[in-house]
Amino acid sequence: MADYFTRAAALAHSAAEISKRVSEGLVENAKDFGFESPVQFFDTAELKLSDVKEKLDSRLDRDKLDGMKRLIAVICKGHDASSFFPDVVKNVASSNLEIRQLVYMYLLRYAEQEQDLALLSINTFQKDLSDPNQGIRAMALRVLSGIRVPIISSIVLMAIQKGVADKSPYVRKIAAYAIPKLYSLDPSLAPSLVSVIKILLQDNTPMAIGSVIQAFNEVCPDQFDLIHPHFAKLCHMLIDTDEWGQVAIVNLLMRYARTQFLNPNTITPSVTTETLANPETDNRSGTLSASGYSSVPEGNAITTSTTIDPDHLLLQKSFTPLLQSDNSAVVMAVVAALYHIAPHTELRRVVKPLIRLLRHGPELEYVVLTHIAIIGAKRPDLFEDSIQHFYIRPTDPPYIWELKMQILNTVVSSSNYRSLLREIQQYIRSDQPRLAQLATQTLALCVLKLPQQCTSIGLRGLVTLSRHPENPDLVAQATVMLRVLVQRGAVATAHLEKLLINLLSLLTGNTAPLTRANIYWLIGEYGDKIPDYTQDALRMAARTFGTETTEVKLAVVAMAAKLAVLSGRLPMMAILIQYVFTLARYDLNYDVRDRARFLQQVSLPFLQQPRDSPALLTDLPDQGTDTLQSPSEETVAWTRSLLFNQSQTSPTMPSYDLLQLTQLPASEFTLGSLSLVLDRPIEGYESLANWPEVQPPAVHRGTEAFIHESRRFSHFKSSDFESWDDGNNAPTEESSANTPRTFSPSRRSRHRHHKPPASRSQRTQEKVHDDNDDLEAFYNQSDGEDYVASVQLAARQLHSSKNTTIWEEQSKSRTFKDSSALREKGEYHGQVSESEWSSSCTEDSVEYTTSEGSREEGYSDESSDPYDSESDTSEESPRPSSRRLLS
Amino acid sequence: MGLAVASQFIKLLTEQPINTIRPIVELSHRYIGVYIHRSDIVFLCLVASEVSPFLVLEFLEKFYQVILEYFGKVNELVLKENYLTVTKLLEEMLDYGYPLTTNTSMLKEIVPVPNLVSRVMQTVTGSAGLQDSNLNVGTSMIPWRRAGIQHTHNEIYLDIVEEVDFTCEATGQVTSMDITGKILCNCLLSGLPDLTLSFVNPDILDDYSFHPCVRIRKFEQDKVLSFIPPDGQFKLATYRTKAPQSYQPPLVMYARTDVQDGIHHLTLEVDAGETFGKPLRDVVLTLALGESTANLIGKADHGDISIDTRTKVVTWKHKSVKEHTKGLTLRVSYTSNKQQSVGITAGFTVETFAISGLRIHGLRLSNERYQFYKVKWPVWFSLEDDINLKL
Repeated sequence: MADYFTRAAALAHSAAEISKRVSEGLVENAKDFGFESPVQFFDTAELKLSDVKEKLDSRLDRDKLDGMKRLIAVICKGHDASSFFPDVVKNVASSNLEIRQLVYMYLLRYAEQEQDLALLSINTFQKDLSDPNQGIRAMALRVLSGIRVPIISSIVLMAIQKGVADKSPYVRKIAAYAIPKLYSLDPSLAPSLVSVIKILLQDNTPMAIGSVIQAFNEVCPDQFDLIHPHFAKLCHMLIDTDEWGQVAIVNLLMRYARTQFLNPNTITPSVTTETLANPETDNRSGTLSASGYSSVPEGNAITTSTTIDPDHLLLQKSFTPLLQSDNSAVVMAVVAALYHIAPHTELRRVVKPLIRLLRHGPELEYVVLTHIAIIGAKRPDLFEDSIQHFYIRPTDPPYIWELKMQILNTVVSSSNYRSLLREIQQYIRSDQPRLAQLATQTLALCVLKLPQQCTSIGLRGLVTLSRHPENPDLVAQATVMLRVLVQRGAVATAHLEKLLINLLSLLTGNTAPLTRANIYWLIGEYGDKIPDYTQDALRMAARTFGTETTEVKLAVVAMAAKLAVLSGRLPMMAILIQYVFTLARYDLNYDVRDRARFLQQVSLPFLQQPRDSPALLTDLPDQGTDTLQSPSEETVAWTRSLLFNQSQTSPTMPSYDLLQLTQLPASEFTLGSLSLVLDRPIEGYESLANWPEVQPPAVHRGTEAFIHESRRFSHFKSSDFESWDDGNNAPTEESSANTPRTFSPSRRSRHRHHKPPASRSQRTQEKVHDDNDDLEAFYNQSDGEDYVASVQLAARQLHSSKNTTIWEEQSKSRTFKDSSALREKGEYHGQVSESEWSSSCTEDSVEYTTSEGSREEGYSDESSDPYDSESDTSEESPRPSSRRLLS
Repeated sequence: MGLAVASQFIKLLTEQPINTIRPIVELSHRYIGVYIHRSDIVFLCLVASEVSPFLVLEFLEKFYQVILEYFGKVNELVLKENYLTVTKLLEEMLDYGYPLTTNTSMLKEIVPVPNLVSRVMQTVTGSAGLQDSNLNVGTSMIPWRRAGIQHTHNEIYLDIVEEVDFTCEATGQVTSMDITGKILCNCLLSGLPDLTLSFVNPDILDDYSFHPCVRIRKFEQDKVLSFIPPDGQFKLATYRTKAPQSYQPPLVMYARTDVQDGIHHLTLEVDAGETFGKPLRDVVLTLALGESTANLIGKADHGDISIDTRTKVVTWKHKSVKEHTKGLTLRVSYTSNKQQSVGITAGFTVETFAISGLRIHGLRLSNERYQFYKVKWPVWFSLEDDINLKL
């Protein structure tokens, strides 16, 4: 046979050789005709490396491209192509964009190995950084930060600093991406990078902000003081950011909340004036504020929720829409965040999204199930109604159904046990022994968890299983579970006798060792319930003792000792017991010998010393006449307590604590982490901070400005469709009205900073700021260099934008939006165009108003809308600490 | 280094079937493999430090979807043939381990889809026609839609596809039912259309997720889908609905088994129910008989039977089954040393038939005006079914 295989292998090898040669020849021929299939090109790339150098040196772009393609193919196949570095680097300044792209790909891979040569390319990138095309700028920045040459770290830093101020959000995004790269290359640059991040945090475009936060998480994950002023902005931009950015932001805000707010689950409910102010509005506001508390009686919900920091609520509120995201990473980030920072009542929201994720493919299903198992262990009630989603499909692989069984164990309850019991009948009959075993455990578990509903059906089921004619493994499992149930007192005394006799009768058939061990153990333990049968049981055990496995022998010895205490006075019994002990004393296994010796000594006082069979006892120390006397009360009590341990698990029996199945060790890992799935800390894992004991000092989080921002960002999707095009085009004179707008929120909050921080009681007394003054200041003020610069930047962007009809409409819509605040005050009388786009604008502003309204209603401790003079909310928002913002 | 670890994974693959390897598997003391298995190709990602496993899986899935969208299918040949495009795509999608551009419409601008024209151009001029303008990624403020799209015919198509999971007893009684649906959209509209899709009965949606273009807050308030669509085909929404009361599935199965002289006889009977005059198409019934079976023989009066002796799966196919057809019967006999459950699943499609009863009220267009504008909705409601029959 082996010979046959070697021959076959040799044949295959030579066949491969031939085919290789043939294809080589084919390629050669094809080349002559100027035609080559891409597959062959890929397959034979390394065979033609010899002329790559020539090709790269060629003057023809076509040859260069050909050479580069070969190199990339070689890299794709995992081979080393670094020897061509000098030839490749020469082409870095090629005018052909495609060649350049490939050269960049090559550089990124090998620059670290060839640092000196890589320096040759730096100049080109630096030049490209000033290219009028934003795509070129971004590409240069990407490659420059990607070639890992420590000498140039300061150059990269400069490039990043330049990119940060770029007018294109895409370049800014790439600059933000470059920060972690540089940080890993040279951690000593951290201070400068942090200051770069600080600037980038002021970015107001949803496109860039996600990558900025990614950089933040990487470089300075704990410098939350940088986040304070942008907190509200982040909350609000969250929904408009790209999906990967959302993951980063949710992650950041989760960590932020763990350090800045108090644990919402330990806050003591207290009725304050705020809570009484709007119990009804909370109901009316609909989707966001009210629904989270639906599971708790209304009154309670409000008292608890209002003591939570309003910013904390804002956070939860901005998270929840993301549960509807199509991207599982986003959904899971939010689930983790809600799990770790939200009140327990909020957790109900995560159920449906999690179940939705189960359908995103088998791989994701596995990871989601591990998380459901952990959430379910903490809050089994959440998944009670969804139990059918954890039923096992015939196609599920083992690692899936193990998790599903775990979840089923935790979520079974009085409301869903019927369906579950019907379902697990299938699993018990499965041809996977492990699944059958788990299902049997679940059946027993139902009896323990829901004794009223499940006892009779569960026991009947297990007894039926224990009589299964064909499957000894199943019988063994059923007996084990019956034994556990008896041990835990789940079987009524009235049924016990019948059950034991039933089990005893199994011994006559063909059974697995595990079954016998369990039955023997049970009979020993509960021998007093069936006194008429014990002697028979012991006789059967003694007869087969020699051929049993160790576990059965141990069980038999234990049974013998117990029976000695129960009925050692019966002469036949005593003989049998001594016989068993003698057999065990000479067993091959020393465990059995030791146990037997020990138990024999313990049980001796109880045994009737048969006079006519001294042979059995020759080895024993002379007992004299002591054994004939009844053992003292004390001895009886002591021996009983030693041998019989009905409530605890027996040392000789596998100790299943079934209820443990429902209580997973609460994982200390953060949800959504790899460490949680693998259940060990992975490099780079950092656990969440514990909640602070006392409320951290109040800081300004830009919450006033956020209302303002909310308008801009809620409009983003419908109206911010300007496309600025690199400043190649003639500037237009459009944008004067919009210019200050872009950076207004921060300016606005700044304007308010000269006020000293007010205490909570003062705040309630304060009147809403005068709106007219505010607006005035808002449009005219331009203090602070940063802001001047950023305003100029914004102006540049707008000026450079292409003048299209879209832009006109959009600027109109902007004006319209600007004035919507005024309109609310009744001061706006401008005409509104009736075209379709404006109707969408109106809808949007309605949307805005509503969300603002719900915000006010939901969070009583929040600032009222500064633009809304009709608002009669009596509280003012916390005054910002000016120090924080000016720094 | 990465390759050495990846070969660990390949070794693992040769040792055990892929469906027994966990999607997250430790390959060495330092590296963890996260993989997805699609179209018989494994996409493996090596992870050395803490990262959300969802992020990795989602990225791999996106990568697969992008390749699929670029080349129409994914197999070894396609990957080899387009290795350059695939490498470029990966380069654009991932930057230093961070997902960068995963949006297909943006990617298509940076990395052109290879087609016959570009291939010819490439052979002739040596360039794939990549221009500076191709690098203008991110010029549109809406990430999923590039600026300046023009179509001569402005059309939009909507499809609703629903999938139903039933679990039946052997007696044909439905014990659990789960309906999930998706709204597929093919948008061929110029400019920046702002669309609003409203439903007659949005309340039946129990859980939903949307394409990033949908304004979620708007849906939560008004129960309408308001969005600026990406160009081309995309999945607008997925949803799950509560099962309608007393609903009878369009396909009812009854099964029984007998054992005679050690031979198991399984009889499966199928009835088609009410489908409003439309036939059930592509009815496929799959019987997974388990490892321990042997000597499979199948017989049916209608349809085609195929038996896979390796996986012990019997497949019974019908091109089309008229409604109210009764008593299609399949008889399978086999030997088995164990008594065990048989998993039976059924799949079929019905056109113009929404099992959840979700109905579209209308699609409103604002923001753009077209001379010629056509909405096709719903072209069909389709229903794919997955019935699990318990014996």
